Amino acid sequence: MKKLFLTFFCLFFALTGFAEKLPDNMYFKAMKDEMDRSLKKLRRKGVPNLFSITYKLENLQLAPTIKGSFGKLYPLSTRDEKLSAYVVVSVGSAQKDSLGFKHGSYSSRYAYAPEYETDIAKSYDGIRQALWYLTDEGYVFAADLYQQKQAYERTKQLAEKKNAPDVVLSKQAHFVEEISALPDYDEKKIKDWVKEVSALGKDYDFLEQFVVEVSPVKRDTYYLNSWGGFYQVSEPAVQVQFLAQLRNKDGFKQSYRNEFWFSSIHEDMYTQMQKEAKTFLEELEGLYQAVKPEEYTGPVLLRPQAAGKFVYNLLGENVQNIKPLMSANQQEDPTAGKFRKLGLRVMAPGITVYDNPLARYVPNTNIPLGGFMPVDDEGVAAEKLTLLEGGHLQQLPRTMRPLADQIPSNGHARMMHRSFARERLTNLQVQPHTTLSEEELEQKLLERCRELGLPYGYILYDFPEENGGVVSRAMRIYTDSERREMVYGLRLSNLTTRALRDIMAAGEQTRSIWLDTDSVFKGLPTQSISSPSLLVDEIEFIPTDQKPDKKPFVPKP
Amino acid sequence: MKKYIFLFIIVGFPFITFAQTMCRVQDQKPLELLSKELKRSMRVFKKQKPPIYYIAYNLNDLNLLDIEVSENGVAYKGDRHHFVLQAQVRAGSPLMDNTRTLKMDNTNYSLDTLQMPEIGKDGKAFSTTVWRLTEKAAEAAQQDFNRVQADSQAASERADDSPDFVLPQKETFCEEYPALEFDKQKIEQLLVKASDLTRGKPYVLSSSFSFEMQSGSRYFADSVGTQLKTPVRLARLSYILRGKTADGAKINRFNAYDVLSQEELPTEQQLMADIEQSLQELQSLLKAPEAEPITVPVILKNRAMAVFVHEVLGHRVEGHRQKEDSFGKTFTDKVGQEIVAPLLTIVDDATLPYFNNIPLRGFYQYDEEGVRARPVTLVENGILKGFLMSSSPIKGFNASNGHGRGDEGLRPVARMANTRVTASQTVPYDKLEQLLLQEIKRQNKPYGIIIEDLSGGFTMTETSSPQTFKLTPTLVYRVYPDGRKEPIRGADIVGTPLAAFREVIFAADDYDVFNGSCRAESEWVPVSGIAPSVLLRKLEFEKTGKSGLQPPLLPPPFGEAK
Repeated sequence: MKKLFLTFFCLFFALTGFAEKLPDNMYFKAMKDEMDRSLKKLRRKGVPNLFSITYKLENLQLAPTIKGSFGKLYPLSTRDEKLSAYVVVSVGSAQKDSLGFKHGSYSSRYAYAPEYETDIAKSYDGIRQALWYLTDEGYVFAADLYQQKQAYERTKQLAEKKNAPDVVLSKQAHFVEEISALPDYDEKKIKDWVKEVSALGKDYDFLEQFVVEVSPVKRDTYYLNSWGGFYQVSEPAVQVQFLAQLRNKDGFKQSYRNEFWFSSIHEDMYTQMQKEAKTFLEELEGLYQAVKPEEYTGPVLLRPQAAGKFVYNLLGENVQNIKPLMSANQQEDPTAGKFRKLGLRVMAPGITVYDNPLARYVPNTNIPLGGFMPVDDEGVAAEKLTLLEGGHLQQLPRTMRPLADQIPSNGHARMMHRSFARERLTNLQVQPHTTLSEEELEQKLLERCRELGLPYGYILYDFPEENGGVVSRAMRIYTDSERREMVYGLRLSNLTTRALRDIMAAGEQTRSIWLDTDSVFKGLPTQSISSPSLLVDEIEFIPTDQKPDKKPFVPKP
Repeated sequence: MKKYIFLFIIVGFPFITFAQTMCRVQDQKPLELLSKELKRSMRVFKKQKPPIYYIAYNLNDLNLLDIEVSENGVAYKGDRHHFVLQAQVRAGSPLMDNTRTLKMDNTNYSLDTLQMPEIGKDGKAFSTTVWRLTEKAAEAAQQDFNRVQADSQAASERADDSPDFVLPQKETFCEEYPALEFDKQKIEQLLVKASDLTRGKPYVLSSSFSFEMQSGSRYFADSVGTQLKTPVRLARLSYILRGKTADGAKINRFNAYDVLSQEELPTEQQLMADIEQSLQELQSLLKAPEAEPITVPVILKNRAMAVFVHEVLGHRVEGHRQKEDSFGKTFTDKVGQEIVAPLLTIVDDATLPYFNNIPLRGFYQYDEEGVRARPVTLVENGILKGFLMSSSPIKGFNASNGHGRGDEGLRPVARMANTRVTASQTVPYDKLEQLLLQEIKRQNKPYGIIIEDLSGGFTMTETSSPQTFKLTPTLVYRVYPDGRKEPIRGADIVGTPLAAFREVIFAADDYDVFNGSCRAESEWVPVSGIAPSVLLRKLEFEKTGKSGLQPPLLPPPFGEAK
């Protein structure tokens, strides 16, 4: 009876229209029309009825990238526009549906939804055509998955599954904003900026390549589900990238990259590009002179960019996808986060960590944040979460697919490439209760090194994406003279979540970075992290075994 | 010979109406900078151990335009400048160098490429990028050569111990054409209108209407001193319509128009009529009976015959396939012997720009190894005369004949260009159909087959697999002894090359062109085939594989729309 009621509830929403008016454009019209048609007609004998349909369209517009090297421009790339459609279909009911089960091996990417392999025509008919194809294929796939999931559950003792529904429906929300235009700009002016900034590389003879790129981009997202949730978000941004290649004095070939984002093109951007380029080139000069490291275990000062990646790797990855997928082949879900128990001590006290999907810009700036999400990908209003307080786990991102504790969604469901919506973070914010200046942090690092009898400590400007990765920019600072030298080939070793509890102090200045971690849509990340510098009591490094390259056969012209 | 000259004059006429201009190599800044970098590098490289003995640069300076439309909307539109350099570096010596195929790893075909910055006044950024690419390619070449040396010590004796490379002759050539110009907006509107013809046709599950163009120049400079600037001109309007039968067989209809100017594009009326025709064909094929495995007399229509020759014979006369022991070498030792019906002569002629006013996609003056293209007689009156040669010599064929081709980023190997089949005796096409009916009756077969359209297929030339071919006709008719025709679907042609070509017994006088793209070790290259329709005593057919999945449950919305 309950099952029947829930099914009725879902179909009621879908067939009687949406409580709020959908935006009047071809994207929503196509989604609504195809959803209505599918809900009414898409069924096959012997297959459970549709439970839900989710449509997400993303229109990524890329203005021609302006790219220069050593004061000369490359040919302009084409102005590009790519429309992508993502469709998730489930069959069954809220009590038992087809999602949450992994078909086959975990080694392949999750594939819960088919992929539309050709470009979608930017027309009402073109969008409907793509949605039709994906819905039809998705229904067949969901029906197959439903049967497999049922068969699997029959063979297991799933205590928590007894009477627990797969889905707990939450109130549906909506958010609609105007679709903004792709940032307009004076091409000649940007070309001049790129020429001038890239020409700064001419003064550094050791550079084999120095490229500056400016890429205006805009992502418009249109979302609709069969429970009545919808949103329309428009996110313009400008990406600036520096790419460099050098061979250091010991002969190691190394590539470096730095990127930063703006919400639009404005005069201050040029000043900022020049400032960032000069800092980057100075760092590269240090890297040219860099020395080979040796084994090190001790305190490390992580500058904001490195600190952000450090916290994301150890904390962020462990509080996402917290409801593991079931798999017929008995494997554990390797993407599932491990911190699932509220109250668990995770980090040193004195730091609060938030996840704020409602934040759009870095406070007091116009620098956009990648994770803005007013309504999540299950149509639920997204909430700001306090993940950690006093070092203990306070809240977790949740979806309408609850863990055993049955706590309802807090609007943190996000679709990934060809996957249904799972628990994801948006804009992580690391906020220390007390802070030190950068100079004070360095002094604290040196003091700790002296206590431990270490001749030097490390300052990291970047952090590898995985344990065992090589740090791209690392500096030693000596305890006796405070002399500084860059090192190359420093490999992270044996890093565990223990390091989060070893945080000793935090800095005043915060930097926000975009994380290209779970981009549903290629080209624009959907997560960010803002963190100050963090001083960690112990991290372990070993030198890489990489051998130096020969000097160039022929000198640079 | 007279016949050949006559043919060339006729087909050459449209070509000379374009305003090509001979330019001066010494005025070409890219060639000047590339040559300067070559000299600077070679002074050092030749003293290295192992030495770098040859370097060639290919610089593609092209404007690329792509428009793709479906269901009344633009799916993709790109208009960009492509300025990319490729370096071919050879380490060791011509006798044995880094390009030799390894016994356990025959995948070393890739070449390094880099996007280039503008040249500017001083050319410094350009030259620095050339230097970076050369360094990288030289390092890779030396490493590969070390692998080749080690491999050669463990490898068994090679059947063909020819050198790995023959240094090309020094050439200087410069030619420019005005850039191809098309009215993008007009073409887009035409494609959108064309896409609307699939509205209300639920059997069309998907469709695509496209226009693509490449226009510009290709620069070539090498350490022998060759300096070339040659034009690149390709443009094509095409469409594809796809459907699926109830038993899961995928059916499509494709059509393309290769042109070199807006005026050569089909008129709206002609395009719409062709699409209507293709829609009818698609609908009738979706209802058509499935083919059965059978051996029967066959007519291969002209364009289908061109594809047949390309796939079944063409790939087997590519030079490198006579050299490597991993290949089956079907024709290696058959020079001077009859390999096809004596009726046929086959020439591959890259220098042919047009045939019957149709631009040939396989046209070029110099290949990707800087060697001047020349016509190559492959088969004369049924007798094998030679092979398509790149700069990798084989036993009995010591020099390239200008067929070293490859896509950007791939090492050139011997490939076809414009493969032209001529018949010494021909009959009108109607007569050929009568001869087919006679042959059906003579062999007491229930029916014969006419292959109207053949989109492609594959031919296996490696010894590790059966030395067979399999071609996929897309429009096939059964012809009954009383002359009645019936479309069928799912008929693949299978066979072995030595047997298949001897079955040609008559040819028609209806020469036509198949323009397409061919994929092999050096990836995609544009090619053309010219052939008459032919009657074969017999060919073998087998069923085409099916997807095993039903068509979608609901009809496509565009197909339901009014």
